[in-house]
Amino acid sequence: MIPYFTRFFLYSALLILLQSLIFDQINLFGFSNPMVYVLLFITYRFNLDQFNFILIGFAVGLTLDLLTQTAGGHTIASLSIVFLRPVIIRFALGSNYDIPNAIYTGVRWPNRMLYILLMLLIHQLIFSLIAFFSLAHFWTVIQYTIVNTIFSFILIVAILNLMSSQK
Amino acid sequence: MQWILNAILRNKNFILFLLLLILGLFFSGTQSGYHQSKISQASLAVSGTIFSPFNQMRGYFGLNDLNIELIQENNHLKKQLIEQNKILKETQLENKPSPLDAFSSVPAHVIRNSFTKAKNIILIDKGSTDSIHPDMGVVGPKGIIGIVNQTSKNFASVLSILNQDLKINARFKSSNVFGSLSWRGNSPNKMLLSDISVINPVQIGDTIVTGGMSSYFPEGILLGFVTDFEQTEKGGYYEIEVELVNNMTDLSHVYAISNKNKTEIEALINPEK
Repeated sequence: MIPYFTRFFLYSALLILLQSLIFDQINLFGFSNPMVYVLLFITYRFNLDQFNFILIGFAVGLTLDLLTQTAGGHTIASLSIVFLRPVIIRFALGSNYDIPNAIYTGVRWPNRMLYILLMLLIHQLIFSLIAFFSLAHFWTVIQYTIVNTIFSFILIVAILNLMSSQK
Repeated sequence: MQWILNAILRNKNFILFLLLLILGLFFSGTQSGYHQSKISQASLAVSGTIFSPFNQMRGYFGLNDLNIELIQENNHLKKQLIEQNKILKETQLENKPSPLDAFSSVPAHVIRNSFTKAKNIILIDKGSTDSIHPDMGVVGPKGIIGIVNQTSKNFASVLSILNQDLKINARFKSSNVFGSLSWRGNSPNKMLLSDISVINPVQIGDTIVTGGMSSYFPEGILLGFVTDFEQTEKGGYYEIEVELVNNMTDLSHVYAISNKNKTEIEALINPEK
């Protein structure tokens, strides 16, 4: 059995590559690209140390920013979502927040969907705000956030279903 | 001590998050010019708000000197006015517009001045709401100060003439020989006039004024005097050391000036834009 962190590292490398090479080139409706790599932060075990998780979030975001030549959007969005995750988990999963693998089993599906949706929405909102960096584009930011969140949500739920059916 | 350590340990996640967030924003600034300009605009607003009250307080102690300076400036301007009127009367050219008519000015106070770095920036207490906009020229009582770089609502940053990125069109008062004046970064009262061909006579003590080739400043503003000159290594041109009349280390009230004909002039210089 491969240790969790080694598996997570390989899984991160794969998702970062997929994100920069494929998902960032989709341009649905001319602008929408799904943020599939947020899956890393959604599925990271709930019972592990938050300190390491913040470092992982920063590293993943920075790598993506360097690969996709974006100006810090991925870094700041990933960092924030990782930092806020305990709050989102408590809000979305309620009393089940301490189940380590709650994303696959042990939680009712509406709670699970709410958790995924909130993670994506907040991540995407911060990412768009950093990308535009101006309140003059407020409505464009909202539009990007909504479309990208829906697109990412569909893909991520599909991927999670595939993964859980394999397990 | 133990208490501080405990507090740090208790909030270690939040501290790590903040540190990395600052690092992320810094990265964002270095990665893209757009983000950098937005961040520097925000920092301009913040530092302007912080420095403004301190400067106002310091201003009270300097009122005496300021009054003397203003009286001297008034005197100088009056003399100029009388002289100009005399010339106008003599030449009967009252109806012809003066080149100075093309410039409008906004008075402002310097709230922060730097002169020790390679790229010095000055902050002034007027911004976009006072119709200050980037690329306006800034002059002081004794000469030019710099060019407006960025503006926030109530403040503006000015590229000082003591900034190695800036080159100012300058000429000899006695002849129409033009060159460009730049700063080498050593002394705040010495600048270098280059691109003057050796076929032109140069003497120590010659007066240097602004040339009219750039649209930032009116022509003929006093800049300084020649204190030294030598031929460049390749020959053909002089490198002239100019001592500024303006004391760039002691700035208080300045005027931002804008050339009403600037867009027209620039459209002619760069027709493709």
